[in-house]
Amino acid sequence: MKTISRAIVSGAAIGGLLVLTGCAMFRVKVADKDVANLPAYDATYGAQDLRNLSEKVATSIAASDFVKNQPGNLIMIIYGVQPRTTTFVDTQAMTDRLRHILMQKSNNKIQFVNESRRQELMKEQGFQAQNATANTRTAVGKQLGAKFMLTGALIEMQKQTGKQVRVSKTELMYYQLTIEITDLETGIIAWSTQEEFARAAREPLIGW
Amino acid sequence: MRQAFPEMPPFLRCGAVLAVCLAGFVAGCASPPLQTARANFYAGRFKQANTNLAAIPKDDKDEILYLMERGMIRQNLGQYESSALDWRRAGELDAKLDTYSLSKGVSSLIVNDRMLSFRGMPFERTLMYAFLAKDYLADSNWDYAAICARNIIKKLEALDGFPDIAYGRYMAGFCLELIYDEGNAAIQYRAAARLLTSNVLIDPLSGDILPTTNVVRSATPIAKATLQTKPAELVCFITLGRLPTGTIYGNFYSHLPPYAEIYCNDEYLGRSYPFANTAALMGASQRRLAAMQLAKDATRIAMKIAISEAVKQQNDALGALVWLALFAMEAPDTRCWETLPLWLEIARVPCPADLKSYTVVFKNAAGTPLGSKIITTPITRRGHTFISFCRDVGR
Repeated sequence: MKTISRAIVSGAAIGGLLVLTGCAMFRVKVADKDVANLPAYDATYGAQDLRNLSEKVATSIAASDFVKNQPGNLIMIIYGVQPRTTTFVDTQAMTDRLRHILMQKSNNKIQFVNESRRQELMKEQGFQAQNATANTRTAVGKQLGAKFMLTGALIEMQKQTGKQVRVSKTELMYYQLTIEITDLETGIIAWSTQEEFARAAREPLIGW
Repeated sequence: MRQAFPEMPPFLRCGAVLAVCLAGFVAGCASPPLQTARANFYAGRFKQANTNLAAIPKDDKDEILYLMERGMIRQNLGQYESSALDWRRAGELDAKLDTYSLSKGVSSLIVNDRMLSFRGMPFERTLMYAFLAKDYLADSNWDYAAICARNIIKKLEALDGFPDIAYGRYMAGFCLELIYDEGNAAIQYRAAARLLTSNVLIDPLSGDILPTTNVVRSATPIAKATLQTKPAELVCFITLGRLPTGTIYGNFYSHLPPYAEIYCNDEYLGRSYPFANTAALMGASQRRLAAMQLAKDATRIAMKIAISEAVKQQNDALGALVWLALFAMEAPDTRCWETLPLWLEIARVPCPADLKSYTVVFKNAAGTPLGSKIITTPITRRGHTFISFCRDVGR
């Protein structure tokens, strides 16, 4: 009996030591990840989806006949993507990325006015008008007006498994991104594109 | 030195000491900063209340509760961004609690329900999004307010026997109206109208709130006759009082509600109407959970008796001690979001097109003035609609 007790105590002590010192789960671990292949930890919209959707939509716009047939440069303004979701999606991150990819893919045929920095722009021009030399100050009243407006909406739909005896629940998320380019002169939607994806995730209902 | 319980094996002695320590720790351990913060909040000392909850312990079982309380305190301080972050974090933590924790579940069966992570009643979780929406309305972030609306709807569509909330429905409808999703807004306005027990009608097309006095209830929407003439409208979310704690008895809707009158430049613009009473919501939620709670309490008591009996068979004195320790830990789980107001009311009134400030006069049901506030912030604008809210913590 005594031997068994000793064995149990020794085993527990060794096990405890192994867990605390040897097990990787108890150590801090930092590793860089390939941003092109980020894993999804749940069914909701994440960084990889931001990348994929922006890439697909930008490619679709840049390769479209609408862009190709435009004489000269296309000056656009982005008025945001509406997040019609239940999660707080940062759609400004999407438009930032969209702008960047569109400029790259179109070889700067598509140009954007900086709508988010207008206040700063005016402030700087005012400062230059008062303080900069005549040779270096930027001319006022020469800003280019946008001909097209880029807007969009990200739609989310969610389904969950119903109430039943089970140990896990499955959640299905569907996302659809619609991007529209509107002619500011006529108000007509000149181009529109849509991308979608769905993802299911199973989560345990009982955990430690 | 005389040894206590000489015939008892050492591991049992250690267990008994640990149990007593645990009992003292768990049953007697309150959260002084939280209580102080609440006291400061209701005394109108919002800054001090915020300081009390400056450091919220991570992974604490009450983290959601701390965040809910701090969110409310910060909203009343006008710190809408940080208030929103608190409530969003609480929402994220709540989503994670869908997974039942075995360890906490078992310990709640041995100790008490306070061992479980706080989630709040379904109405508290729903109202959190209604208050979060107000943070975004104050920041003119209509898209994020609409996200709150969708979360409110999502929760109210899965009630599972818990009470529906007219205030939540109206807030959802209003946030959707602000992003021009009028169809879905009308659905929510209709749902809110169905829930209202007070003599108030809601026009599902415009969201107008009208008293039923001298108005014939009809199936057709009420014409927004004043739309053509009035320059603007003010939608003001007015909250009054304090959610009572503990078990709620009686029907709070039978109590005559206080209300608020709105004035601008000494001109009477209109009054608020009650859309929800949190005590009534709490009472209904408690009744919904009563059977489940009773079964759980009975199981826990049976388990405590079984444990103490098992120890008693080894040692009478220790058995009694364990019995004492286990039942000393028995305490009802009365945790709730205490900075929630008692009355949730809404006023939708015509107002001047250049509204900069307005006065709210709080009145009891008999019309006696209880106090007043001049509101200059938050007042935001979307088209011809001004949006604002205010809280009277004193009544």
